[in-house]
Amino acid sequence: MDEFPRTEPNVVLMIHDLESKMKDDLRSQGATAGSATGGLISCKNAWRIRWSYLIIFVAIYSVIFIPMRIAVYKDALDPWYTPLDFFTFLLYVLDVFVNLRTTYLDSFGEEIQDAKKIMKNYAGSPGFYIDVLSLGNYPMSDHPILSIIGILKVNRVLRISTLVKESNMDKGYKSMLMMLYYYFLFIIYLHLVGCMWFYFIEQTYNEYLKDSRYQPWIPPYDYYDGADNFWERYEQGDQ
Amino acid sequence: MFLYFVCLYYSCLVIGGNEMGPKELPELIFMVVINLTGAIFQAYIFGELAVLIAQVGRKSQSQQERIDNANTAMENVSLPELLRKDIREYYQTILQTSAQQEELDTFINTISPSLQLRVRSKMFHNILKEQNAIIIQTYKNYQDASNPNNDKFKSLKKSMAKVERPIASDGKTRGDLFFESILQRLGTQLLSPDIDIVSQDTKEEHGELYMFWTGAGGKCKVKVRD
Repeated sequence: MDEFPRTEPNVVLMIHDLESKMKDDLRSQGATAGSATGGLISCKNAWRIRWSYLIIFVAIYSVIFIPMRIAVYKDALDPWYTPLDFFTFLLYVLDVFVNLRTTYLDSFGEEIQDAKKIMKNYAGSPGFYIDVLSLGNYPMSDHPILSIIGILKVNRVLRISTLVKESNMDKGYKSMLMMLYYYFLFIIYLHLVGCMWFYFIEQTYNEYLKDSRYQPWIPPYDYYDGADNFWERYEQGDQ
Repeated sequence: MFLYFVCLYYSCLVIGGNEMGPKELPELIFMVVINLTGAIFQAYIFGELAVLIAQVGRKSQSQQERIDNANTAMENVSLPELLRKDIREYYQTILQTSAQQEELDTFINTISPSLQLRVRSKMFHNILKEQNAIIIQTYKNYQDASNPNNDKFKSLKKSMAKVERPIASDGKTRGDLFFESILQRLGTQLLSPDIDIVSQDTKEEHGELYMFWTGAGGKCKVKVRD
């Protein structure tokens, strides 16, 4: 071993060279990864992914408050709801344009950077129609049908699944996150059904107020003895 | 919040298929539609959840199955308690590591040779750096192999030439090629305890590099026969 000292400069240099070359390779790959030309946004771009997170967050807000304002609390978040509604609407419109300019991976895993193909791919997908239709719920709209259409923004919440699936994390964490996602989806479903149910029973109560022969839908816990006086409490503003 | 939680509560009851007390025709239709669409939605969500829950515990479950199998076998042959304890400890030590080795093997085998080289470079870079002396020795051998009169390392030279030919045009130095050739031969291997790694009697093939480093706190004994 004396013949070949541990600090042999040539070998250290060689390792250093190899390391530098590897770093250069990685740097050059990093510089090109996630970049796209011609005003297109790469689907691997870090900012594009952050944008998706923002849209998902805003969509969760919409999915919670739109049904709540239609059915249960018609003045929820007032007076902040209107400016927030304008802001979120703007983000949704921008999101449609961002999606029209975002590259995608084809079935061979190749990133498509052709603007026409990208537009055709997004515009031909059901997601595009759902996203555009959900914009029908424009700010300050009073029409109940348009408000209900706004619930279609739930489609954007489903992007969580794609983001988690495409993330580069340990499969154990990924499974846990996917479980949380499905549970969250379940809670959203409960929220939507709950709001829909109340919207419906309120209509039956309004019908009863017009015509006393019509029986309002009484929630089952009040159904058996009527002692809880659900609709009386509702009338008195016990909400 | 009372009203909202009443809604949420009844929404949970709808999911469970409880009696909701609809009386008029529109109410009945509403409940039927909600229950039927809800059934599909629930099947989708709970089906996915069941698959994911099974995935999360699959690894530890399969390891536990092996230990259970060993426990049963040990019970059947009435092994002494001390030996059973040692065997259980052995299982606990190797099972986790063997799973990691399998994951690494699967990963390495599914990527391209050039990516394999880069992964190996990352994995073994520090080891190579620390083991300069051994590498220099091998490098000297490699240089000797360039000498046509050196029979001992002719096959090494042959294999090196294979590596050199396609990559030389990339402008890589001889040193790069040399390290790449080492990296191509490096890999990780999980060895059971008490196993002979290399025996003195084994006939080495020319050019085979017998370098190994123990990882994860492993130890090995070297016995030299006269």
